[in-house]
Amino acid sequence: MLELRAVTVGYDRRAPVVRDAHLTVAPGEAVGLLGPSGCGKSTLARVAALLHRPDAGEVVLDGTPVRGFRHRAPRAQRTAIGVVFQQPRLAADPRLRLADLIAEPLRATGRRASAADRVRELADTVGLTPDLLGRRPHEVSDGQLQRACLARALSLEPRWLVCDEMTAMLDASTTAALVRVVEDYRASTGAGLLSVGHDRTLLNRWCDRTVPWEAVAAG
Amino acid sequence: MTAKDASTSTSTAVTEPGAGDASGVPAPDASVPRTAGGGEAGTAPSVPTDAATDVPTNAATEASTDAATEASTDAATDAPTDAATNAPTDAPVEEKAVSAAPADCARATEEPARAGDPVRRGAASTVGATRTGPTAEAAAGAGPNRPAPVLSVRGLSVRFLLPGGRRVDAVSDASFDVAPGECLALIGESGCGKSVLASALLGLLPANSRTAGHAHLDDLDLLTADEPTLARTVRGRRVGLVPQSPAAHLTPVRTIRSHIEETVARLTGVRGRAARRKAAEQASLRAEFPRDHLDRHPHELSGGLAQRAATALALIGDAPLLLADEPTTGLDRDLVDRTVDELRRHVDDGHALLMITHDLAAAERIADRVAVMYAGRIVELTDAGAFFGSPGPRHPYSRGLLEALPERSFAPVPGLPPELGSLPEGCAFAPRCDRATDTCGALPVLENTVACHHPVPAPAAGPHATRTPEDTRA
Repeated sequence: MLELRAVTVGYDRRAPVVRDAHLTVAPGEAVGLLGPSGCGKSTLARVAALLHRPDAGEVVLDGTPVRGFRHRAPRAQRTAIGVVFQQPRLAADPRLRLADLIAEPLRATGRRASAADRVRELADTVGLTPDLLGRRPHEVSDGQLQRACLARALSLEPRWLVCDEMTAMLDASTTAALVRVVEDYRASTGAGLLSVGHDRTLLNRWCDRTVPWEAVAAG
Repeated sequence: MTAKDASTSTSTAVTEPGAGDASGVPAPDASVPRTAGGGEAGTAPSVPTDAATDVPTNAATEASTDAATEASTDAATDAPTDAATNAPTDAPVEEKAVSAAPADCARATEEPARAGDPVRRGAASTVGATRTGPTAEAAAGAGPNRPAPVLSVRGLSVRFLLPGGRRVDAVSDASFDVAPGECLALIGESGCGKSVLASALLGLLPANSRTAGHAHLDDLDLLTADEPTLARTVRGRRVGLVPQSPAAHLTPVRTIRSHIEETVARLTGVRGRAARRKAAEQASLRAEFPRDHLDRHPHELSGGLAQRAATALALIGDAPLLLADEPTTGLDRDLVDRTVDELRRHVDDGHALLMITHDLAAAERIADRVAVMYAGRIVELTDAGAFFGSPGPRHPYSRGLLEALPERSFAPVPGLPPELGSLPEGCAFAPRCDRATDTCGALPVLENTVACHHPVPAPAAGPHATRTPEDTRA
């Protein structure tokens, strides 16, 4: 289970962005979190991805309360969650070739030796052709870069995926392609998914259940 | 600027602190005659004399004038704006945001039009002008009872020449018209050349670009017009740009009121502080920008309000043609609908709108006609009603794009779009197309509404005309 319990969070303790949020994702379940721009859903997604420490409340990952966030999160918890952000341009180091971008988590966790094979495999999964792997982010389109970011998120075979508006910048075909990749991955691994977005039609089509923001957080 | 201020000048670039100058970029040398359209340069009015007193003409102001008024998208203006706006807002959201630099680098190359080359227009030389056949002519536009188009594009091609002799065919042989009171939506995947086309129409291509064909705005060919003409009579005045990310086009250190007042001063005859203030408030009202937000800075606005501020700026010059480049990217559905409805209102007021988007729902909501672009070519150009409703699109790519929507079959078009630097000889979609045959090795021309050797047959309006008619191959 990925559980958010009474999470209050923001960037200023006096003015939290999200108050008293409760959300549970069961193993293998796909939950869509639906909310308008600026409601705080991305901030909550960051908490769920252990990237932002809540001011109050707790995150419980597979029964273990999370004690540290960001770099303080224990590696076992950190690597159990894969994240894909809305804007691939801002989520990709412009200096890295796509192959290195995808391999970064592998190298960071001591799997350097097997990285090359794994990258090829992942690239194939997300539909990147080998010639694209040698390019840097500025040489590929948004859609291609987001494919690489998704491959990076899948590289450590996370049990949980957090997709924060993963497809907001993409055209219909690329959206459908990336959602299919996520769903294929979940079907083969049983991973749970928290997908945050504002497109009701998309989330209803994609997820097992869609929860509106009002049902998750207070005020 | 008023007629009174306008005086004929033959060496305008010398006296005018022009757009290029402003952003630390050498102004185009007016003493060197340009290609066709140079006639315009001779009669181009000089800068109004009072601009120098009303508006401090230092680099910072000029740069902001560009961004706001003339909707310039050059890298020099983008860089500081992005750095200042994106960094604080986006940094907390994106984990790996190294700095604002990645976004900028990325943009620079993704849209070569904004690459760092200082000279705004590449010598508008002609490269292998592919003449448009009569069929394309017919397909491009004007039906029998359509009003005369505001913008008439014929055989527009844009190439980028890269180091090492490489060549990128960003736009190939595009032809279309946009009439007053009409919205043409140009749709396609990211990287298919849509934004390059917009840059070409505004004369904002970098120096390594070569254009061919024509883009007539009434009697002026935008492709061959020189920079002074474009800067002083076209951008903002005859073509209004609603930019892709308004936050990046507004100057972060100035209020919305200041943006609008400056634009009013530059583009209209309104003189005097009080009159300008009033005109600015009226301008904001036109775009439904709330008056009590006028004194805010861009970072204090939501995405929707920033979009309205940008729209207000685009409307001030009362340009007959509006160009909206992905105006809804990143907005949520309600805001998309609102933005699009507002744009539609301006179309109904008689503006012609060319809207570039990959958001099919937004296109369906606003467009009268739809042009689908694939790998730099317009592959289908048809009425929006027929496209989104019955009988549906006829090009297999358009069909695939629509079918990828979550409310339809949610199935992606297989494969990836081709590289614009190495396009196949024939139909660029053939490798991804399930209808492709050997015939597709030859380039299909746009006939009637579609450029395809094997279009989905136009159904003989049968009783089963559904929203998404089944493929009739079965």
